[in-house]
Amino acid sequence: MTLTEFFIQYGGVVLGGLGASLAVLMAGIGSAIGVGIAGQAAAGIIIEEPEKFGKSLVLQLLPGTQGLYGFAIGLVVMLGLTPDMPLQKGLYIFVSALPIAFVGLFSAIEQAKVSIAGLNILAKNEEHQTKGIIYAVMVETYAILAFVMSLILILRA
Amino acid sequence: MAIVQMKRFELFSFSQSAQKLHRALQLFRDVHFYDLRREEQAEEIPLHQALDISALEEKESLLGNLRWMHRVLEPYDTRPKGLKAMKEGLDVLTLPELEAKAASVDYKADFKRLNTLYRKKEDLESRIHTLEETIRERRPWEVLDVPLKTLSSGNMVDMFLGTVPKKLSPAMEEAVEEFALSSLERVNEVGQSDYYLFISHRSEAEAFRDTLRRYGFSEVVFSKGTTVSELQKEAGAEIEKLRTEVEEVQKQIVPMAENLPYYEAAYDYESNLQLKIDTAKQFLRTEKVEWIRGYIPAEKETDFRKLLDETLSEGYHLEMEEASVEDPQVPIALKNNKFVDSFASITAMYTLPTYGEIDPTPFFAPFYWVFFGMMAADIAYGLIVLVGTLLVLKFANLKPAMRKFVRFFCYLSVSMTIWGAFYGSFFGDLIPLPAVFDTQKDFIPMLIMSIAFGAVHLFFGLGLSGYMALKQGDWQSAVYDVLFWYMAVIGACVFGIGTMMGLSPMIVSVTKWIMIVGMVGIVLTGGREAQSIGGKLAMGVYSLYNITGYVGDFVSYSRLMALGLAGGFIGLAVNLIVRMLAGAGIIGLIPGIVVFVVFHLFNIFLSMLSAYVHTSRLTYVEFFGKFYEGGGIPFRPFVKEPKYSQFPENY
Repeated sequence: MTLTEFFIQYGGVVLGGLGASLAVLMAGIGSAIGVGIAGQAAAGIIIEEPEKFGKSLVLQLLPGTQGLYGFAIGLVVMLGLTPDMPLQKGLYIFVSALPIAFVGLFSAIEQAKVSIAGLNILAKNEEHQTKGIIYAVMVETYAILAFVMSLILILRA
Repeated sequence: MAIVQMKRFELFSFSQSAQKLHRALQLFRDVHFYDLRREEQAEEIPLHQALDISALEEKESLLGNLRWMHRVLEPYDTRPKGLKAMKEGLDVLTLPELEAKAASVDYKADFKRLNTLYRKKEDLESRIHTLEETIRERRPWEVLDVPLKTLSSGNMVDMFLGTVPKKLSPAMEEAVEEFALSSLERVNEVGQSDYYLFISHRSEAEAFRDTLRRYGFSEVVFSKGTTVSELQKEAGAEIEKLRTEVEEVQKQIVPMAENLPYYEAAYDYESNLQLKIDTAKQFLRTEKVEWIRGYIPAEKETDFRKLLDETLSEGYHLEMEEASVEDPQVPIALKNNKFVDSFASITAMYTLPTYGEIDPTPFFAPFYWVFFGMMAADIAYGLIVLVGTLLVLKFANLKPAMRKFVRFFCYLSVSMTIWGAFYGSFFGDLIPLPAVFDTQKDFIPMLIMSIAFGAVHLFFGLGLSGYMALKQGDWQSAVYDVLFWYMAVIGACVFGIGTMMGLSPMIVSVTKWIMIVGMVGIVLTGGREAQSIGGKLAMGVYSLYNITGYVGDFVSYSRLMALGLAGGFIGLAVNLIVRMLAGAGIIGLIPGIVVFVVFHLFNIFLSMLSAYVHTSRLTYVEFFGKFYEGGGIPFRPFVKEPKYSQFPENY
């Protein structure tokens, strides 16, 4: 079997699988970085004020949702994969996974930066920490939009 | 249902009755003061406040002491903690009750006593620590089983003990060999040091010690003549003795924790006194007269006058008038029914209305309720939150603010359940249910519904802006800024949709003309505040450009659909994993249940957090943007919320 034949026969499922991986991979990487750097900042607060653990946890976890969105897209894609998928369908699924892959990666990192700023609010003016959460969740809007777009594209395939 | 009516007063009383008056005012509670130091005349009045400052400092240090006492005694607190404490909640006490409770202990004397005991304990503990350190340092010498006095130096011989760093000891031993009348003996080696006994004849002792010093030698001197093991035993006994003493002191400290509830009451009471003294700085007082300006709710006027009559029997002068909508200093209190009141925190987080505005809470609350449910739609999630919040409300004794917050989510959970039924969602797709909107297919109808909700929301906000303009008698704004916009935006929408859907030409042309009239109206009137005719026209065109903002506003409501879908599909993904696990038989079932519980709980939290934030955003940016400015000062009652107890509701 030549490479071309292989690609024509299995290209669909390969590309589809690549889409699923990419969604989980990139959104996951973004969230891991985000939760990581936010976690460092949160740990800094706990040194002096351990009682703020619960509240700092919320801010740390916010950039974690992108990974979850990527994972959900990966799962939905996985369900639709069949070994005899035509090439064009595989390509379509691959492209469908791109919104959450890219937006997930970057929005998680950006959201983590806002979370850290929110952790500062928590450290210095606890009363207004809800506002810090709101700022951070605003960034998430775009991850949600990308997630929904990826989802709609895949469900229509 | 709205902003509480306020009255402004100017009160002149005799300075000699100040203490009595301030106390009565604090018990009255519902009075908000204006800081008279900001008045220009304030500088000309010979003030008489020195006494208050030292009293304030005294209170602050007293509060610091009480905080310290609490920190020290808290570990010995025997009252129930955790869930049980939450169930019992904080004691409900009025200010006089707090005072009485605090007065039943002499907390100033108790502080002194505790302070002495604590210092004694600290001192004993530090002595124990020093002894332990000594024992540890001496341990390597324990192998010297001769009485230490036999090691003492005489006229002929210099005999001494010391340590040398391990790294340098071989070189040192080599150097020592050069001394004919000196010798050494390695006693022990521990860690980084070697322990030596040195003997040297007086004739070369000085030189010997100098040499040793070059190799990092440090001498160890024991004060007593017995063996090292004896010394260690003595120190151990000393430690035991000190430990018993610590226990004695501890036995006196621990029972003091029984009085913690009283010290807490004292803290809450004293912090109110501190607030009273601190607030009094806002009044202007000369040697004879005190001048107070403030605001009270209009409904309390009779009570307030009665209070002054009773308290200031030696006479006073009071001027009272309706608070003016032009006065930016009027404090704002909101009063609404239970449902609307739950949403007041959302208003307060943005900004309170000014006295001339309307309270937006009753207007956005129903929208908030609907939108929140749409974004966190799930029957099971809604029911879990509903049952959870109802249980908390029924069994836990919470502070009023917390209670309000829980009630807020209790109301919202009903909306979540209803929208869950619309979307046919029960833990995502756990149980297949008939749905009005199939979340797997009906994206477009959901999107249209979201934007339609948005249109209602926006136009309602615009309508409120018109209502406010009319209320102030400004019919021009009502027509120019509201009616024309209605015509332009609604006309454009119906015209656009009508053309696309092929509605009857009559509707299309009518709406086209409505749109055109509206737009022309906006261009002609939008710049009416500019000076020149050119400026008016340019500003008019610019304000018509704001119509693009409406496009953004409408699109913004697509989040209603997006968040609803996102939450639902995360739930679906969880179920997918659980089914895979459960498919593996009994071994998979248990982790499956764990995954199900943990991830669905997480999804409830996440969906609700997103819904909370995004509904707030739609309220603040899209809805408030149409009519609401805010900037009011919150009404601050003349009491400090207690930390360890709570005031009765409506007190």
